[in-house]
Amino acid sequence: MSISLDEKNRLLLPRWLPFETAAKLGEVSSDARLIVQRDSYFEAKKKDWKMYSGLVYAVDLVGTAIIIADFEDSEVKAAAEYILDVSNRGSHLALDIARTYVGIYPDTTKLLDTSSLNRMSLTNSKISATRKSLKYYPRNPILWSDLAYFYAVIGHPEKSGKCMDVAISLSPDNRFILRSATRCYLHANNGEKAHFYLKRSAATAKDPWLLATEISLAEAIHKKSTLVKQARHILESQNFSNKTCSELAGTLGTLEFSSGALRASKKLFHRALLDPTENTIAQTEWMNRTLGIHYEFSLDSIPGVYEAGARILYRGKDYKQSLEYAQQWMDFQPFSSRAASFSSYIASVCLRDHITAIKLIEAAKLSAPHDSTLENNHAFALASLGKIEEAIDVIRKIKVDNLDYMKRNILNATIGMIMYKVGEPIKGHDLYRQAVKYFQNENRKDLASVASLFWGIEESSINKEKGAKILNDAISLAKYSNMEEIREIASLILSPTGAHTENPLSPTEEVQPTSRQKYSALLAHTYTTIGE
Amino acid sequence: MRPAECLSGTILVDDWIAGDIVKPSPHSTGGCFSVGYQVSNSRTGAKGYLKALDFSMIMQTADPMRELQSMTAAYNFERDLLSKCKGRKMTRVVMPLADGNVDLSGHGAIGKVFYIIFECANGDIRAQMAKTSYLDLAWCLRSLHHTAVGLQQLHQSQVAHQDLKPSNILVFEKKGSKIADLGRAHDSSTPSEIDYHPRPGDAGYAPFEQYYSSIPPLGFEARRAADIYLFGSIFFFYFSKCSASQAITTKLRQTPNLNLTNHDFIADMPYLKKAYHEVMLDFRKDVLPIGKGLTDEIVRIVRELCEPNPSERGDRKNFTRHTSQYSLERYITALNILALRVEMGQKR
Repeated sequence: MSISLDEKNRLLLPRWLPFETAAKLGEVSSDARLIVQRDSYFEAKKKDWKMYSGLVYAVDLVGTAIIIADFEDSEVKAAAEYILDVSNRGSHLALDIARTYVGIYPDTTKLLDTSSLNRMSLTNSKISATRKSLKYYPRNPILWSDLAYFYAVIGHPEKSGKCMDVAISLSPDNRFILRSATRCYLHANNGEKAHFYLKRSAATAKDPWLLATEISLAEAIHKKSTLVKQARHILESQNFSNKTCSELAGTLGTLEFSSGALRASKKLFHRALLDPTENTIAQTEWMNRTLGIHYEFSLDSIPGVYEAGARILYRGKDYKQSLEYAQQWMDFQPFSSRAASFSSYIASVCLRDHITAIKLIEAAKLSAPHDSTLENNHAFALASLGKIEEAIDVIRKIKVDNLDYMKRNILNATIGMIMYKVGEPIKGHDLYRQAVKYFQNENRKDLASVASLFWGIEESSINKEKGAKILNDAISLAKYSNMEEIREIASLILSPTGAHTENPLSPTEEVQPTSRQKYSALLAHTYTTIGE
Repeated sequence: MRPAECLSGTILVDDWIAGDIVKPSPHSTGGCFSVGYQVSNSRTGAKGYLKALDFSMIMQTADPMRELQSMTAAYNFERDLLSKCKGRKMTRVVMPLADGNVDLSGHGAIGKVFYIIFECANGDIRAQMAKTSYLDLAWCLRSLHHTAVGLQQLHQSQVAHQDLKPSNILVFEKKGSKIADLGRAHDSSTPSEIDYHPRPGDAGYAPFEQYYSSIPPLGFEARRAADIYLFGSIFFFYFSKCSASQAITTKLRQTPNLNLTNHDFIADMPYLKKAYHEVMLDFRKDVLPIGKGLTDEIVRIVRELCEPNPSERGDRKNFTRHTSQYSLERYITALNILALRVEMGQKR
């Protein structure tokens, strides 16, 4: 079972969102507001409306009031109400103007409009509508960016990249497009390309949102940002609102944290939290175990705090609520394997609900069909349900050659569990031992504790004493990594009442001896390749 | 009473006699310093509209001399421009019939009233639209065709109107529609005070590039680009009762937390385009019940005319030709064909 509860290095990279959602979260807002000055024509229009009281005069007055942002005028209000009264004579746009003035236009934008379970059909209909609009408006970069997002959601990274290429060529200096492109290209493992566009844009050095993106991206692709000094200068200048500077302060805080300057990092995070974005809160929550930043906020007060909410509730051991937030995080960032991995971990390990875990992973695989972490968790959940053959099928599809050592060892642990289940405890033991040793060498005590827990459970069915020893190791590793759920499960199994009970995590079916050799042979290639 | 309000019954140049005050025309030359009259010609029986400038109000301003200079310059500019239009036989621009001044006794040094007499119209297109809830498509398309011709006539003489809007399109009994009020116009051959305004026309109609700029439009082509956007707005008025800018700004205001910058028009362009496309979807709904089979063609024309990005505005086919992309020639032909199709359909 792989987890992304505490990745080694979380960076404050921008979210990739459809335009409406980004707007709702305030990510496209500018501190400098476009103000159209009132002119003598406006007074003339008021006179005309008073004199003639017709629909055309009313619409002209209300429409102009919207342009000059005068929403307090009683005469204009009366004109807007007149338009609404004679709505049968008005046009769609005239009614739109009147409704907007009196503040009754429908706010149809939802932060989450797709659920992971019906994502495919909804996204396909959105793709169809966006493509139809592009037929008439091919030079609209937002439509291209949204189309890129929708393609990424249904797992077409190549099409997604092509659409984003068009968007950025149409609008290379727009914040929303540049931030979306950054995530799009990163998703396609092409961070260099995103960095090229960010560096090329004149807007990057002037916009705190883009500065934060450039610095985090440079860090992600192991480059040195040349804009850190400029970023500090902008932050000190106090020329921008706290909201606009939130991600920049958080990014610089993360940089300081990486270099070990904890006090400076803490100070910057305090600045970031003056008016935070949901991403800043998620970053703070990730760093908080080390930094110990004291801040208070309610999960309802800031829209989109799904990632932070999932983490906070997980730490508070409210696993059910945490899973709800994690699922929303998945819907919010459907192509994020971290979100899916977190959700499946909570479902499988903390709630012992492998069926839900499988559903979530299958939904996430729509966007990331070849993500090895998700494949691994999928195999784990299937094996835990006793669906050994299906689990092996999933594992055999993973391209082991492309995996780094960490992922290979995570996979080793899962194969180890399957080996135990198919009656090959020696192979299982070797694979688990190899994985745990690697995690400990890499100082990933969290992964080591999870692997040890499942190793201990499997070993207990063969040799109770050996199993108990491994479970005790899992408990001490979990203490170091603050993984309460691991400690609790291991303690439950080791307790006098739980020692002889069934494995609390996996109601495994008995595997027939004839199948053992077959399963072992099927997995042999995979773990031999990993060993190489 | 101010001198400009005392003209009723006065005999003016070329046998014109001032009748009743019709309505102050605050949109035209001199802002609130002009008064409108019905006039008739005692010799020919013709009727006209007189616009009288009221210099008496100048004394109530903070800097009367500067105001006087400004008003005089504006009056002279409009009068000269109108005579240029007359000389070039611009059939779709409202022509001056006469101009002059009259000395009113009893008002001292400021008793002199300067005036221009124009052809008498039935009213502007707003008044026409207010009369009926039914939109006659043939009339509407013909009016748009006439307006396009008028605007092209101005552009061919290197004149940009800069304040084209429904109140400045007058409807005549037999002559159809004509463009009026050149008070905010730009004439490439004659510099005027208006040339220095970043937004020369009505804020409710102005194209978005003028909201962002603190400097006047650079060159005649930029002013021409603004003019064709304003012309596109007239379509909006006919079918949706509002202007393109009003509709687009409304969509922008509906997007939560979206503030445009006040300095970076190009960086904000994606938001403007997105709002504009939403507007066009609604506009199509407004055109469909009236335009029926012509809806797509009407929407296409408006989509090109009201494109928020001036560099993409206008007829795409002109982009590769030597003609300016802001030329109205193709639109004039297209509108004429559309109007003819509807007119012939009605006759059948």
